[in-house]
Amino acid sequence: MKLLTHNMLTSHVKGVTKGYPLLIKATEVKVNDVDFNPQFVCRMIPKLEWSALVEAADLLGHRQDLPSELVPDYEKNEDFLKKVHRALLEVEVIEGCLQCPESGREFPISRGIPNMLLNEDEV
Amino acid sequence: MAEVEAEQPVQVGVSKPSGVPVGAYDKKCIFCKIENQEMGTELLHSDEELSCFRDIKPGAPHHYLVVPNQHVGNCKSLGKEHVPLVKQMVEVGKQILQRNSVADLTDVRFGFHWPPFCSVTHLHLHVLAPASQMGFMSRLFYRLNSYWFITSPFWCLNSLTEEDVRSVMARSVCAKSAFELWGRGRTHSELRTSLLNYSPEKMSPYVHKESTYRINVYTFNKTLLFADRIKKIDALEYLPFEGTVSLKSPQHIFCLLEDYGTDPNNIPEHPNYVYFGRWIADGQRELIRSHSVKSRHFIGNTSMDAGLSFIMTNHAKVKENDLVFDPFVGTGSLLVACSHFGAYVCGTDIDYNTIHGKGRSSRKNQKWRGPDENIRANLRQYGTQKMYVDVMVSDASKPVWRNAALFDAIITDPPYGIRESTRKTGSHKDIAKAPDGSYADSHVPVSQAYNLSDIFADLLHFSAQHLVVGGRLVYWLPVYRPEYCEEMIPHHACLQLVSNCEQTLSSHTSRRLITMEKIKEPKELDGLAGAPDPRCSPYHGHNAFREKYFSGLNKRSSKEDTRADVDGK
Repeated sequence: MKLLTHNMLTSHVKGVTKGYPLLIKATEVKVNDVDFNPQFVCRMIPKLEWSALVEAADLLGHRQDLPSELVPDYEKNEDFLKKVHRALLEVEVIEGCLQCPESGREFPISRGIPNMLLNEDEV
Repeated sequence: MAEVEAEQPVQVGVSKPSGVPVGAYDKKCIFCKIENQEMGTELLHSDEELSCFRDIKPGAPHHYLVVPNQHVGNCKSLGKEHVPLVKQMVEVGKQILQRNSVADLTDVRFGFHWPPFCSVTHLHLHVLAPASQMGFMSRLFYRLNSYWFITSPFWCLNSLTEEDVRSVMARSVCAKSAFELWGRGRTHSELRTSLLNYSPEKMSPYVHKESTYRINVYTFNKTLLFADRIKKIDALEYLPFEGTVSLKSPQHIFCLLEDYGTDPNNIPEHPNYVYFGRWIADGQRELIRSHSVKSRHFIGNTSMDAGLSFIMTNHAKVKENDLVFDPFVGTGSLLVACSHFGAYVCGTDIDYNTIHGKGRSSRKNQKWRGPDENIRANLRQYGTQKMYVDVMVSDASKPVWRNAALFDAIITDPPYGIRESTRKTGSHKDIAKAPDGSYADSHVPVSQAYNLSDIFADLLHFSAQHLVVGGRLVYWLPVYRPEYCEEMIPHHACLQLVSNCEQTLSSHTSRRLITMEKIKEPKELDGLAGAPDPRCSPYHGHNAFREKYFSGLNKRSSKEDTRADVDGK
């Protein structure tokens, strides 16, 4: 699971109102090499919840000096974009789980794939 | 391909009369008996010359037969003298249609079967309406040797710049090649006149002394010998080419195009039409072969065909750096197509095994899936692995995304309940749990049937929430044809219908490729208006499409059952 995806996921456990962001508990993390594409990164930044991204990257130990606030004029700042690119697309949680911040319910991640299915009685 | 439903010309074979006797009445002929009121068949029209009655095996909602009262053998025995009779038969056919309230008189098929394909040797004109609702077998059976069935594969367009043409051809999998038209005609001499009239100023950049060129000959529906192709090129020597021929790497390529019709069983000696033009670009039809599902690492029972995947990608206007989502991703065929055009892709599916690439293989000679079978591997196969964002196991009816406009496009093929089941998590039963309230790790949540109409209501609602404004939703909608009407297409106040294209699956079912564009945010509407449209419930009851799909197959057995009941009593 990449942090780009994590940034968009929320807990849908019944009755939960503050299900975002999900807590990451990773037991295996990998860093891949993905072609840097500045245009894509620029398009994604406005859609992100910036603080959730920084928190998640920090938790995984891959924050790499990402600022807590978005820098203005980031479109031309290639260094900054490269760091964002790395956090969004190169860092990948292979094994672990995502935890709902309100209910504590855990969604397992195995082989890089989160399983978001709820059980019958949680629906 | 457009079907031109113009007034159907009736094929009358003008040939010398055969030895078939033209008598007044043949007591062995069933049609003679019918029009003589001997069979108890209802006659919808009866006069001195002609009668009309319903076909016993209808190939369309309206299917009538118009027969002359005289026993004329079959259409091969017709001569010039029969033309007024045949015209009259067509007239009667039209009158019957009007009397039976057939609304669209352009959506009709008239014709005779050419022997030996006619069942009864008494001349009879078939009248079928609406032609668009003819079943698959009927379409084959009642297909005339006529040019109107498929329009020409050549399409002439005006007012396009070369750049426009190149950008369309860079994406289209439906168009084979594009040419700048220099001349055309029904014969080669008409072509010559047309070419000599083409402005020399427009030709000059491509025919001057320093240029290199080659001329290709392309014949549609006919194979030409190499020598004949050369002859045709030589016949164009009147063209003012001053440059040199280069077969390997010419600067400009020209093409002589010959149209020999669309019937492979009836190839004319000379072309119906010829064109000459300068080649601009080829379409992307090669993608259909290169991305064929047959050679893909990871497939499933319902993997989308390559051609259709690319068509859907184009409908959704997927472009470089878009983020595309498929909520019923299966084996990722649609994502493969989107990634080819530079979009980043993600998907979800409720089926754990498919997402993880485990379980039984869909290939004939293979029992279990291999280690390289998953969506990521599919993207890797085509060199687009860097476009892979994520896939997840998730229930499309319970979305896991935060409330924001995240996706540029949503492209999907929801389950119809035929080959893959429609499921969502949830249960009617009480499931026993361990005392501490936890489930075993291997617990697979019980699923219940996901009502087909809910799938589409949820999908539209999801798209309205999570698409960017201007983003598109493209999906297949299964349809039971006899009951189809345009009002059945699901609505949503935030989504505008862009297109609705039918693909026939069987005589009574088809699926429609629906394209919608998000035009406003849900929060701009008041609470109720944002909710799924209550008119959007074309599927009544539980999995009604599945029932109707199989009803045609089961009709015979259910009839036998009722008969048995009656007999048994």
